[in-house]
Amino acid sequence: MRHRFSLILLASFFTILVIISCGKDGDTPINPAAPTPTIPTSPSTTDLDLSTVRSDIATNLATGIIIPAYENLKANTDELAASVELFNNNPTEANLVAAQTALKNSWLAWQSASIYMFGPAESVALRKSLNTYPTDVNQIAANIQTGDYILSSLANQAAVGFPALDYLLNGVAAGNADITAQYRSEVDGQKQYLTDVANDIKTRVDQSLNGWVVEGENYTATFTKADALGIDIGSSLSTIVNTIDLHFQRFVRDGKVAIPAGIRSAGVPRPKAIEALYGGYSVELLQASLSAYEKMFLGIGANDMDGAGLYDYLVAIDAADLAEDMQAQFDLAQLAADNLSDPLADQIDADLDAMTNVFIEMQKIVVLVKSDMASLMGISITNQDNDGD
Amino acid sequence: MFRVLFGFMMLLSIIRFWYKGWIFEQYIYPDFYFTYYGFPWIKPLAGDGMYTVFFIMGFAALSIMLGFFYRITSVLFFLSFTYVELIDKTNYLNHYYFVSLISFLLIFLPAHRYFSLDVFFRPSLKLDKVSAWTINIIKFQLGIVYFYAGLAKLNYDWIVNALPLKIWLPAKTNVPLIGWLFKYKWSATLFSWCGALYDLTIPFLLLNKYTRPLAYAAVIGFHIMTAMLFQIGMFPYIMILSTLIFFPASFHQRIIDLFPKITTPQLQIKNRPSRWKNISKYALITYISFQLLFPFRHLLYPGNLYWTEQGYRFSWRVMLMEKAGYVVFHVYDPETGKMEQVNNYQYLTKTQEKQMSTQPDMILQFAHFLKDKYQAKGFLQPQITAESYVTLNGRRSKAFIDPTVNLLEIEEGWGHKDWVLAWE
Repeated sequence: MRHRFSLILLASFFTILVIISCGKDGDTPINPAAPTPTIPTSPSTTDLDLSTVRSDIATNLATGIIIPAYENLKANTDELAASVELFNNNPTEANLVAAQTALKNSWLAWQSASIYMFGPAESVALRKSLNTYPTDVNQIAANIQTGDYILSSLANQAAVGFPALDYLLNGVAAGNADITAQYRSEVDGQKQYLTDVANDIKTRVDQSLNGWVVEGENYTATFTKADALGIDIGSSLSTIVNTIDLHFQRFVRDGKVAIPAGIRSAGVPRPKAIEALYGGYSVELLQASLSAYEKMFLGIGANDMDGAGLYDYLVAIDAADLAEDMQAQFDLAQLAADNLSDPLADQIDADLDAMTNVFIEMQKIVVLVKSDMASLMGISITNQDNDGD
Repeated sequence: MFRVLFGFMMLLSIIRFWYKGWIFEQYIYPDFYFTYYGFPWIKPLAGDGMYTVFFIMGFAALSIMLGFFYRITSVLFFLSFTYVELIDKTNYLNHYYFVSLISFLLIFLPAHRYFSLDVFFRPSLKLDKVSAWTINIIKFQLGIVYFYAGLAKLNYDWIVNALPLKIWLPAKTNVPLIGWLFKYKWSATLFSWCGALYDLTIPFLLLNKYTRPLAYAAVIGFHIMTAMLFQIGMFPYIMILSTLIFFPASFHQRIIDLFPKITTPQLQIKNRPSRWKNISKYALITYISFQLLFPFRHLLYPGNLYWTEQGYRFSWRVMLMEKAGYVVFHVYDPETGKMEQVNNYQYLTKTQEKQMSTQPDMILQFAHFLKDKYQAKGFLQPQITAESYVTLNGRRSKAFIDPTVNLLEIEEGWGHKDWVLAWE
């Protein structure tokens, strides 16, 4: 009896094997699963090799979006270093304004590049070194006074990068006339520090870009090679989704909005914790950041070229509705951010609710990324074995 | 033979675990550990203590493999392994549970009395025959793992919707050999059905001596495939080697004979249980009934098991669902009017956050952990609510925990969690 039962089972196994081999040359695949309304319904017209889609996305990300973002950042930080040098050699108000403008442009360009904190950027600790804020004014003063500092050290993380330059170029005195006067009369320490910080930024950006380009260390090849086209840890898709998950939450939602708004500090706002405290263009930076995230999601790169992005991947896995909702949510977050006005510190004082609204819209993005999108893509936000779910 | 392979695989697992830095990541770095209900007193050791534990575990695994002071080292292995697993349920894996159970069983089996260093040093220990139950209990345990995993697959999403494989497989088109299959939408259904069929039938096919060779080929095929498709670590290899126990003693003898020097008469299996002690009989019955019944405890709870996860762990539910979520804790103090949203990542690792976001008992534990943190921050009478969203098998995410419930008023326990919102 048991013997016969086993035979039947074996027979069915073989039947299945036959079906599999039919599938190999059969060109009319069937779709036996009847989708229920709640499940992403399939157009089921074409069967798709998703690794091709992932390959397109990885290539577009690397060559169409990330490298141009770093090139743009480099152009700006080169300009920044040059204008700082010029101002140091000839401290006039006009030269100060030029340096301030170069800083603002670099900082805006950074918002696009800052999304990609893996690979080359990670190995030079780019985010920590370029954009740790609030900046530590006392540490900067101490460094200038002693003249004895290693900018790359952990202790100096809050004394370097754009926020430090923000203080040195916009905050050391009230008004451009006084700032210029200070550099004109000042001992060499402050000038030297200004130059060193600007060059530190430039060097790290150069290294990051060099890490990506084909003529350099060619991380692009690592990012787009066949091995990286799966969805496991280390694949390009998993890397990008995990990076977004982490950085969007911590440094965009929390850093730019939640922390200054007091959402992490018992409702007590911390207006001094904003990005670009002295320059006073925090809202512009936030808008640039949100816009950069949406463009990355859509696959839009330099010169507004629309290539393959996460949006297209969602469409490919029959989740066009989620893709559209996510795009809409990115738009909503930007609309909410448009209701803020610079300087952000004043905004926080005057109308905190507008800030909270931005936070709420950004929180919805986090849910969509972390829960809906990652789950549908089969990406795990972790790095351990997992059999439970 | 089973002892040798088991010891070997465990040693390998431990080395892998160590090498990947997981000791630090999982047992030293976190501020907070999700303990098991009833075991809140199990805590990781400070400093390098955890490395010591893993070293002991590795040494015990090696000793089990060699059959060296087996009685002591098998107990040592069971205790150290289970201790580590009980520290944090974030890291719960069915196969860790399986390892704990097997190592528990091994303590009582005379697995060292043949082909071991113990016998080499004390030949009087040698035993050519063992009671049938000592082998059968391992077979039983393996059978349960498969059969229950198969039963769990018999649900609507798995069979009819081919979920979650429909989500996972199409992403795997770059896998060698079988990747091309996943372009086709029917492949998910095919694999769902084959998977369920495999799990349900494999124990029986392995038991039957006619189907055994083919069944074992299926075991190898199935587990190699899952190893290629999913990040499930050592489990496939452990199962491939463990299921060798279904082969008769003569088969194992032939493998043992491959090793030079140790020449011994063939191991035979006694069919009558020894009259060792009545206690062992009852212990065995208890163990077996527990294994049979415990996985069904979810029947006692209302609601969708996959949604509420009441009775999900320790029930051989393997790779059954795609679930992810996000939870925000709101802390409010009516006394002072203070309000704050918690930064989960400040206290939890990524993995802990992920696991917690979909499991109500962990959400509850974390809320209670936060209570102390916030009292220290000056929240006099904190109330903690959870705003959470969960997606199950690719459906759009939905509210998970009742956002109006103050989690601090709820205690951990076996009772039904009515503060988890309904699934449909």
